[in-house]
Amino acid sequence: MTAVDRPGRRRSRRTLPGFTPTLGFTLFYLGLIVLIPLAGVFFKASGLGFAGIGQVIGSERVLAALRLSFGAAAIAALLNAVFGSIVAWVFVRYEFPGKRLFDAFIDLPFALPTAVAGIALTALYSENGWIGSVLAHAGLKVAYTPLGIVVAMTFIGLPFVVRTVEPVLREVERDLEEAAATLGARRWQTVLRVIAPAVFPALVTGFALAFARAVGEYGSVIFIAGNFPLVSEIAPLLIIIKLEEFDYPGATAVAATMLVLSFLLLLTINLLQAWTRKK
Amino acid sequence: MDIQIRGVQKHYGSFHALRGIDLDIASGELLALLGPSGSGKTTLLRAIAGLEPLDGGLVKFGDVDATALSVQERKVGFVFQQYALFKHMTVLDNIAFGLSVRPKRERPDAATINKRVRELLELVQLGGLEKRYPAQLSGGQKQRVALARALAIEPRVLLLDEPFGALDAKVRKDLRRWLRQLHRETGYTTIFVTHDQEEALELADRVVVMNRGVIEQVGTTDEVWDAPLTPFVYDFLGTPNVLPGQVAGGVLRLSGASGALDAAPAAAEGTVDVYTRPNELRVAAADDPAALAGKVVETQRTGLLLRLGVQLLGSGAVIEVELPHPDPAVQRWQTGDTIRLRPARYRLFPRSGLAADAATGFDPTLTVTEHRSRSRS
Repeated sequence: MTAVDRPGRRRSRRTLPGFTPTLGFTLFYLGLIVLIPLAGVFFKASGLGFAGIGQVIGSERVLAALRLSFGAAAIAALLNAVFGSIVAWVFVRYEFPGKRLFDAFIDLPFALPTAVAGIALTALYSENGWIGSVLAHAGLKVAYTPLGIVVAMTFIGLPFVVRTVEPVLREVERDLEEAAATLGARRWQTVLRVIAPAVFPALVTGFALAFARAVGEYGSVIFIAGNFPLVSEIAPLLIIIKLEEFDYPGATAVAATMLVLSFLLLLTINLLQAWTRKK
Repeated sequence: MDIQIRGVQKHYGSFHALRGIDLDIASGELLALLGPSGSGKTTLLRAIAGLEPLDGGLVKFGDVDATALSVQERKVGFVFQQYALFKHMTVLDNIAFGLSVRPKRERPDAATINKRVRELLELVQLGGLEKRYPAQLSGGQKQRVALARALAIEPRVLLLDEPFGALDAKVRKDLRRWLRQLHRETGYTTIFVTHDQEEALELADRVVVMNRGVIEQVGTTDEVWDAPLTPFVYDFLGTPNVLPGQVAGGVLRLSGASGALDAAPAAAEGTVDVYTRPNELRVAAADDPAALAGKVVETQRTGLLLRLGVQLLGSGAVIEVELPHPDPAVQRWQTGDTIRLRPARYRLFPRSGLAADAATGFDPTLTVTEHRSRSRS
């Protein structure tokens, strides 16, 4: 061995040092906070064996709850994607009295204890509540139906869409809209072909976050849902019920199923995003 | 398409950005709007494009009153300072945008659009880059894509906002020459905004010098350079020396000189400012009574020029003098030498007070762009 440095053998220096310790920390932290507890869920559920898990999941009540949780969450996230973008647009583009105040209201669903939100929504939408009584005249029943679940999930998901879309929308320079206008594009063409594509990836993120939050939501939903098995019983509630019956393997089997489904959906959304970004 | 601008007014809140602009632009002309930031040059350009609603006045494209048309209907090709390319579209889609958003019955078919885009790409010398995205282009290439996109709609007039502002010096020079050539080939009426006097004078047929929302002077390069109409134009094109003087009995005498310099027009009677450029001052003989005596306080040789800082003995003010490359036979000036100078060329302006500035509410710390964005929010 000579003392001469051989470039090929030396560990290459990165321009941004600190990769190894930070990656190590990230993995350790992720493991401690996220992966170990989740692994526990799968470990507990695995006690049932595949057949046992299949039996738990295959039961009519569990299937209905899963369908309701994911279905209602998807509808709520879609509603939020549409109306949340409009809210974000208004906040970015216009000045109006009380804007700061309304801006703070947007974050309330983040901060409010979910049970409080659930009770408030139930009071409003029940048949003798302010909104519920009006809707009842129209023959629409919200509280204690799947519709009520969608309402609660929409409520808690709104800030996710608004807060992810807002900064991106702010970045869309006015120049771009003006350029489109000088080229002869009418307003709707500018919105559709210039602004929407720029905002779309952020909107998908907002949708994913709102959806994930809604799937896992418990506190606000159980008050308004009515919790009738097969009709308005959400999957997280079913897990609690199983726990209270000391059916731990059954509870973890449902939990693990929810985890896998959510993970697959979020992964799909992420891949979709990476694909649109590359395009 | 020729353009007439009559009495155009624009306010941003309390800020008066355009104060009654009158301007005629001939068809096929290449015109520069030149001025410092805050002069309203970009506002005027945006007003022509219809991007700024006017508070008063008229813009006509030929016989058409453009003020009554929307931005879309005006059909102007506008190239933005930061290019404003659509990031999610390829170069091809960017250039085709103006054609593809046309209403169905006016829209050319896909093959025609494709053909037209490829012609434009050749014109701006970007053939082969049609599949790229704006992020994959250099500044100069983006600039040319923006230009091609604007040309695609066959605009009535081409408007460019600080077209070379964001480019480095070398690219800027190439692009300038290329734009000049493109203008000759296509013949579009072209107006561009710049704060760079060299750029304006080199590129444009005529230069419009603007200051604080008014036009100070319109003229060819020679006209604005040789016969500046106002002290501002003098100041903006080069760094003139301002010497105080007196006009009495039809003759001009520099303050601090014993003899009369020249005959002066009778209209200028009283205290005057004598504007003279550093290269218009000449070394005078020791017995010249009209010359000013001074002491050389600074010498700097730049290429073919010798630049002197001369402190005048009378007033103590330091003026700048540019002399041609010193001939060895002629005296070489050193710091501390006494020197006598007399202006060979100059212009007189009545003594200006600074009082005029205070009345206009002009805040030099705010640019028009800031006023514009403030008035929007």
